[in-house]
Amino acid sequence: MISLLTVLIPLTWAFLIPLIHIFRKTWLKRAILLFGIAVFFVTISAAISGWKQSALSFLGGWPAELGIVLIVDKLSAAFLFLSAIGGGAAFLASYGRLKEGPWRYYVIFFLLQASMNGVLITGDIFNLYVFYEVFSLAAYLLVAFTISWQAIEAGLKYLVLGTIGAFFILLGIAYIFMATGSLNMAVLSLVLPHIPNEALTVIAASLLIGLFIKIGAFPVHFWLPDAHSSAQTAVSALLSGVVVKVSIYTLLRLSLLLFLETKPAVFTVITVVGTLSVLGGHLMALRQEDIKRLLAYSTVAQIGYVLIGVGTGMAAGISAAFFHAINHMFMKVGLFIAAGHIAEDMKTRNIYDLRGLYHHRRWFVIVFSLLTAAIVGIHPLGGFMSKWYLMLAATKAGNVIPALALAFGTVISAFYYMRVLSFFYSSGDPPPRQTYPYWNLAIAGACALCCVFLGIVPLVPSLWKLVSDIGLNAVDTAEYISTMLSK
Amino acid sequence: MEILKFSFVFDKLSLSMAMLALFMAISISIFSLDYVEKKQAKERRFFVLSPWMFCVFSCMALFSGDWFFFGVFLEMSSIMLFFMILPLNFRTALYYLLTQLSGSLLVFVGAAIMIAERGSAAMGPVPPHLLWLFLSGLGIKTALLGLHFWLPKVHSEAPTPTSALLSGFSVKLGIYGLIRLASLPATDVLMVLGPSMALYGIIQAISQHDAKRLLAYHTISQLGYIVTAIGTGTALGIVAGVYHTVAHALFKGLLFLCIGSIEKAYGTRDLSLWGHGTARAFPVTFAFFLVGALAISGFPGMSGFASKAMIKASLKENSFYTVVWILQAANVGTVLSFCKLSYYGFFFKGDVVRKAPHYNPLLSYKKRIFQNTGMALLAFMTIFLGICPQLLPNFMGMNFGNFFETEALLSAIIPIFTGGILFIVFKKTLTPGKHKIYDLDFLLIKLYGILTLCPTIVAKIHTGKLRQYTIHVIIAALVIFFFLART
Amino acid sequence: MTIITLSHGTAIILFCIGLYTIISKRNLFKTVIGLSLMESSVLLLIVAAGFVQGGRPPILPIEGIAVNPLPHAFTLTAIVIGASDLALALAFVIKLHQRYKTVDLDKIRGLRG
Repeated sequence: MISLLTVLIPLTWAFLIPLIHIFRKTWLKRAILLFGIAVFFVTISAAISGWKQSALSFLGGWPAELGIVLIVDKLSAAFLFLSAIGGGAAFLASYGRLKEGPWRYYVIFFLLQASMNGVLITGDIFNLYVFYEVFSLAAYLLVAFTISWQAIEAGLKYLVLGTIGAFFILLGIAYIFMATGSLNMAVLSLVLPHIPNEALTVIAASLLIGLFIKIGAFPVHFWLPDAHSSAQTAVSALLSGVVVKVSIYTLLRLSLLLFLETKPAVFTVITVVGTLSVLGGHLMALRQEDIKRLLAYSTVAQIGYVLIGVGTGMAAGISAAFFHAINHMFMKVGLFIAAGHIAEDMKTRNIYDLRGLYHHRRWFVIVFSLLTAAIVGIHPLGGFMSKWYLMLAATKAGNVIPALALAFGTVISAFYYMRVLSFFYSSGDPPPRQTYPYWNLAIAGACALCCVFLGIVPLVPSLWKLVSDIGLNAVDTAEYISTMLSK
Repeated sequence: MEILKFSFVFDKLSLSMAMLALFMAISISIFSLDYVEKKQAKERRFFVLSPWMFCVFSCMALFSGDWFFFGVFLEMSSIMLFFMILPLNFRTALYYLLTQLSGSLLVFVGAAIMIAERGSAAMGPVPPHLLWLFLSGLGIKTALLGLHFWLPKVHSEAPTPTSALLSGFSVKLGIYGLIRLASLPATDVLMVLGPSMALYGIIQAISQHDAKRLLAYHTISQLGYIVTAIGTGTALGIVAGVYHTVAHALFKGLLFLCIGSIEKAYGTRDLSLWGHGTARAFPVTFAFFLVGALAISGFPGMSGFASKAMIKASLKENSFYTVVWILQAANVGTVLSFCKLSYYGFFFKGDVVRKAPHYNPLLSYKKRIFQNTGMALLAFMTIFLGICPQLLPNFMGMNFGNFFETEALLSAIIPIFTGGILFIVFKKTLTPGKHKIYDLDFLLIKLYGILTLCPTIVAKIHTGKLRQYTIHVIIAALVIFFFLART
Repeated sequence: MTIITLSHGTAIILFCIGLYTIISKRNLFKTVIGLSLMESSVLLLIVAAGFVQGGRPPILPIEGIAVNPLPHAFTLTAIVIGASDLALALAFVIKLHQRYKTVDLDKIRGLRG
């Protein structure tokens, strides 16, 4: 039941906020904060309950073959946890800056959270599409929320490319329905091996291309740098930290359930695209002078890392991919919030104009440096550990070239992040008067601390077991099917 | 997925290397007490403490029992040195960091493949098909021929204590790795690379006019000796390699400190601006320099003599007589180039009085107690090892007969005389000029121009036109479809 | 040539026409129309999947064979989603027109590189 609440509660809030705005305007400030905290706790508790034992809820009491089933297994629980933390951080960042001001923003925000949770817990492929589209719509709106020309242009590009992707996904789902007459993922996992190979090819190709567009993988990533750099600070953090990860969850779930046995070539495609993303993202980040755009291209590359992990199709790779996803969530949320605050504070996003920042915004630069070290992969921090496990998994699956690309990408990323830091630490003119950034600094600092903490995780057996369980559980499709069809 | 477990290896090899690291850290941190003025308390503290941090990380690398942790601590020691170059020269520091990162990442990829295939990556010989990864990874660290491009630039442009640590111990970590690798296919490669490094380093060193760069090329040449010794693959060869590693660390550290303190007084590294009674102004420094120069030339009674005698003996044991002659030739070159350095650096009185622009005789030896103590420690150790040559081989469990045999003495003294005579004959030709000297890093600058084309080409597809982005989507979809259809 | 194959063929052709519209037309409104065409084509495919020869509309009480009602439900949902997509797209187009004074897609390229 609690799994249903993760969708229903944010959805209710999204509809309550306009009502509160109309009838009790003075309540709005407290209500929004309360709502945000409530969503966080509901999501976390759903994740915990699903982690202990797969939690199912049958909507309308129909069995899995006929109705919609919401299921929280370990993979979903892990991503729910990620979405709760990342969403919570982005919520706090936007609340600290905007207060209750634009209530419309929070409507869209809660809508986004509801639909993201929906994607993570649903067991029905068409339901997944619906949630997916709602969350994409909310994301388009959030990107364009500031109505500056960059935001609108980025929003439009995101919308057109995202919608094309969505129609490819819908096409795939339509073919699945035509071929099998069923939409439940567990049932599909059982019946897909029996359909003709040609049909499977079409289904796999259209699902993959649609999901790649939504994820922002390299050859079709064009909307991502625009959207992530043009949105406001908290939204950039949310998009890079969580929204992309939810898309990766979808790819992970669908590819494992539908194609793991029937079409292993899918995983080759994912690996190739991941490798391309690593190289392309890093190479493009090398050229950027706009700090947020640089971070956005870095996101493309980090997505590539995660895809290399997914592409192994093995438990170790998926655990490593999730570990990198959660690491990247902390790093990018922290980096985007720090960079976004700096950019707003200094009225510029060009790194050449951010010279001498260290002497005026000391703590910000220190936090930024720590997060940078984490994302480049300096040893005791989380980023290094996840990259090492990705490398390990990739080589175990026999993908040596992706592992080399991972190493090469690390060197390039060290280059461009050091370039940014060199501007921060060089001497420069004093900037305009400081706006006191405690709120943003606290969130970015907490993210940096989490990165340090995540670096310890692989050394502690009990914590590491949690991470490795995710991969084992995700690959174990038989258990997923039997849980789903138990009724 | 397995958790990270730290395993240790405490054998005589790693213990002797660790003692060396400790000794280098002691003497260099004592030296650094005078290197930075007392007024700059922060920088002074940094330069005194960072050799200790470096020492800790290197010892961890030496004691780690598998390639992964070796790579981790290798990387961390490089990062420590990166911070030590940073105060003087950002570009050089970044150059150093990137080369070392790529080296240790290659080791990581190798370790990952090894773990995937064998289940563990214990320190020791690696399977032949992974040799290229390990050799190129460690080769960047050790400056094997072709991968040495970073060494002259970084060594010459780093602050003096850093240069001493770099040449004294940092490259020796790579040597330690190579010693662990020593088994059949690897030793063949090393046997070819070693003598060629020895010769190449000397040829470059003779033509240098930058004092520190000259020393840096000597480092390459002496590393060639060590690599040759390891290349024999026998127990005697390995002990000889370790011995020369220790000896070279001591005298090359000493030489760098001497040259560095004179550089500080002159404000330039250009040999053509030195001379004019430097030996009289800095008698103590000159005495230490003389100890180092004699040791590197293999003068009997110095550590260099003993280690070179062992190397020659190990080569003769395996009847590599050609290699012995190559090393002897290299030794002649060493003597020649040190004659040049000492003559033009300390005594030369040219026709025209050319004073260095920032000559500051106040920085003379008298007030520099710590500086002299640091150098004295290294000089003492160099002489001590030369007088008691049995000490280290005995510690390593090897009883090497008599060092001071007539044959060994002759083979050490003849190159010294030959070099001296050659210097007197070719004195005019060797006058430090302003000529340009070509090495791989000039090629690299050309290559850099080509490399920057890559991001430019990738950037070409980011036109900002939505229609072209859609075309990319269609192309990607078709490629994925045909790839999936083919399998 | 049954009605099923016909509708499948139509769907594919429509999908391709939609994509072609997006890549060939510079007018933003035509891009939106292209999106709409793609959407319709996929919906046609889904509806066709529920077709049963000689079936009746699935409205209670059912007499004889009825077509599969599930795709109809999907189609309705997808139509709603598609409609909101298109509405948002048109809103963006209007805003962009206010800023750029044009609806030419090739001129809207402030973000690149």
